[in-house]
Amino acid sequence: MNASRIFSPAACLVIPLLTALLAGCATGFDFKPVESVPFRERAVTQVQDGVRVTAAVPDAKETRELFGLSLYKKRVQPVWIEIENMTDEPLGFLPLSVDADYHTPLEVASLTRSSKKRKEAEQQLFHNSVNLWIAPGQVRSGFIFTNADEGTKAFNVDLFNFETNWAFTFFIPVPGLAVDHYDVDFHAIYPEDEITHFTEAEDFIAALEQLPCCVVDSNGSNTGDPLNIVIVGEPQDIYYAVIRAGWDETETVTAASGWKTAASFFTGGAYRYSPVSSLYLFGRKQDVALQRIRENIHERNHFRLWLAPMTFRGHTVWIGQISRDIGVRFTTRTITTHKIDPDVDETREFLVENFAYNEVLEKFAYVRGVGAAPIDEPRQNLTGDPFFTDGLRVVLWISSELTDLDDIEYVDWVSPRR
Amino acid sequence: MTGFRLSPLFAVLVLAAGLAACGGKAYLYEPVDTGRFLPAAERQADGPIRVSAVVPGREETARIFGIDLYEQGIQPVWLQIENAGNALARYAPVSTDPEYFAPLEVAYMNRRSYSEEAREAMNQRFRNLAMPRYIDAGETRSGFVYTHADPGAKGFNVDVFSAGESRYFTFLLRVPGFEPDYARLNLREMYAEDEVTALDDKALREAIRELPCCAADRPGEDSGEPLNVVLIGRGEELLRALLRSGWRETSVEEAEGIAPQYLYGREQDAIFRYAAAGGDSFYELRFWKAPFTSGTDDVYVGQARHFYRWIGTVTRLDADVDNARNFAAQKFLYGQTLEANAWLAGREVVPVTSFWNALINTPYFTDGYRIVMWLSAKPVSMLDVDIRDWDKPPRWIQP
Repeated sequence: MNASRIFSPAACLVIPLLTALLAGCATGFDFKPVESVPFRERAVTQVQDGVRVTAAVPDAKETRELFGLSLYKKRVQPVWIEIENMTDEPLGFLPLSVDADYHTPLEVASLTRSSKKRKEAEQQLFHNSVNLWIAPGQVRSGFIFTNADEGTKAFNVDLFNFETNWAFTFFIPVPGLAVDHYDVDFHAIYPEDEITHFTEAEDFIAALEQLPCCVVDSNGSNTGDPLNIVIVGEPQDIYYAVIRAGWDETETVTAASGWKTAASFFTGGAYRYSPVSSLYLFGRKQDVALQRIRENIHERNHFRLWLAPMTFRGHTVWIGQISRDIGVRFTTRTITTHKIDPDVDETREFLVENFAYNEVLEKFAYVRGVGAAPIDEPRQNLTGDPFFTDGLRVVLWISSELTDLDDIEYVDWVSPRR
Repeated sequence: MTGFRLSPLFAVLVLAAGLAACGGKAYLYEPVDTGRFLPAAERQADGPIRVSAVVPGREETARIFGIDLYEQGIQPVWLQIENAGNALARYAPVSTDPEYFAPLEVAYMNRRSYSEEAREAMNQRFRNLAMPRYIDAGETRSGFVYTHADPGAKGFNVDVFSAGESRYFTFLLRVPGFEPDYARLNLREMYAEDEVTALDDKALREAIRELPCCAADRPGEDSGEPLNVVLIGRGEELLRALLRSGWRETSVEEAEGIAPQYLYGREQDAIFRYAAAGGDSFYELRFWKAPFTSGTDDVYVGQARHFYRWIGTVTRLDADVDNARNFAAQKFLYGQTLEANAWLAGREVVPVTSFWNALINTPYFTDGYRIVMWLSAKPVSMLDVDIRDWDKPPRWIQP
């Protein structure tokens, strides 16, 4: 009885019965050699200081072919990692870097209920899991079982030896989740002569303050949520930043043509679930829609961005809107599902801190442009939810380098305290 | 708004803030009686910034907000920040809880069955009592941050930024109404002074090497699971390190439902757990205070194990106990609480084949190694972790 811990004595009776029942209808484990399923065609390789890491993520169908188990249905996503140690020292791999709550091979094998198959599954999964130590000159590969992410799989691979360490970051698109396609070609949005290039802060601030206060509906007749976020940076850096800060593109379907680089994220922008009506600016729907699922509760923050027809000191400029859903979990007959927090400044400041604590914020500043709405004279968004605000937009600079909390620069344009 | 103060006006015990209107009940709460919980506040100062913090218990919270927030997994933390500097200071609520609840969100979550007026009163209550982000020069502000409830001790940070300076405060507060399993023991005086040996590095290594392979299922028997982790640190620092790394205390009641293991003739001193996301598995650390110290630091000998959901509520021991050991080490590493570590080859190797061998069928397999970890309550960068040159780390052999 050492092998199973029982919390309820009644379970003693139930287990044998259940096992017998489940054994009959269990999905069969059937491990195939990694070579037999061509998911590694999408593998990404990175090399740093004598260490090569190659990673690939099989999609739901490939995973079923590889393991004979529908692991994605159990929210388990295998990630294949190959590590080559070209240094003279043994190398240690830290699986927690890939997923802080990874599943162990035996845990995954337990999904197979037939005890004979399970033993086979345990052995196969265990022997095909990633090794923790890689001797000098050695190449080792295997699977680590992570929690499933939809869309792009973003993860780190940390390695160390006695003197130093290595940190790799991977962004690997996982096909098979796109349902609907809606391509946005960013290069075609603005002809070159429509883009204004700013170098002086003064001019840039003036331009930002003249941008529309709020989103509008599809025919442009009603105004809605305030546009209180401005992001300055390179598209690829912004993409890394939002993923690192825990936002995901679940709602966004990336164009099938754009898998090749991470920046290709910005070439696609359709909703997977259309959970909220689209919002409009510059005569078009948001270019990028992101959501961040919050821990423990089924509540989300929504974040939409539009590319603006301007650059600042050579970097692209995006304008956006963020909202915190506060009503999803407690829906009743009388409450709509996407009630937002009317304190939109609170949500804006959350984003500043969310970026800062994920070390992706280089500097920030505030500008006007939304127009203040005091708490006792709130304005309304397109679905009739009230909001109040100090009327400021936050400008967030994103860089390709991580910025320590201590080094974030505050640029004093407009004080957030009146 | 400068938070709230004790005032004679608050002599009235119950305020009816929202009057019962048609189709909804009134919102009733009691005034914040800081006199009741303020004495328990812990105070810390760094330069011109002074922070006081206290976590009101479930009942106190229900009185203040008129709602049993603990039941909803929400635990308001009361903060007071004094800015004696010359520049505006900014407090970051995400430092206290990365997924904190917004004030109006908590109010909205609770609006059901209340009248319109009561809802408005509730909105105001949660907003007015919220800790503001900005503290002007020379100002003192206070209020609540609505955090996720922790069952045991509440460990959290309060980060304050001002004039290009960052100040980080770390609090560890007891929450009324929760008793951790180790509270039944007097860990500090567990051994008489003459029973404890202070060991130097070399003697410590030998003492740990000489430990039995495993704990026991019953007193005097040697049939438990491997003692594969050793934690070294000083008293409360260890507790802070555990909490900062994501481990949670077990209450006295919970611990009573868990089968004990034995070492030094007694059951474990404490059990800590970490529940993986999704709730289908958890890691468990249980440990015993050793009758020796490393210099002046306490030494705890322990077990790291992993359990996963088997059928229904039944969980199963993950036979790969080395994974649990390695996971625990990484948990401290990524929790930035690991100062140093060392490996020791152990006394009992159980090959993976004997786990799968139908005749032997051991409940676990292991390379027999132990990891010794020096923990720190202050953040240690991953790059600064010292790997001590004891035994070479275990090497997985390609099967």
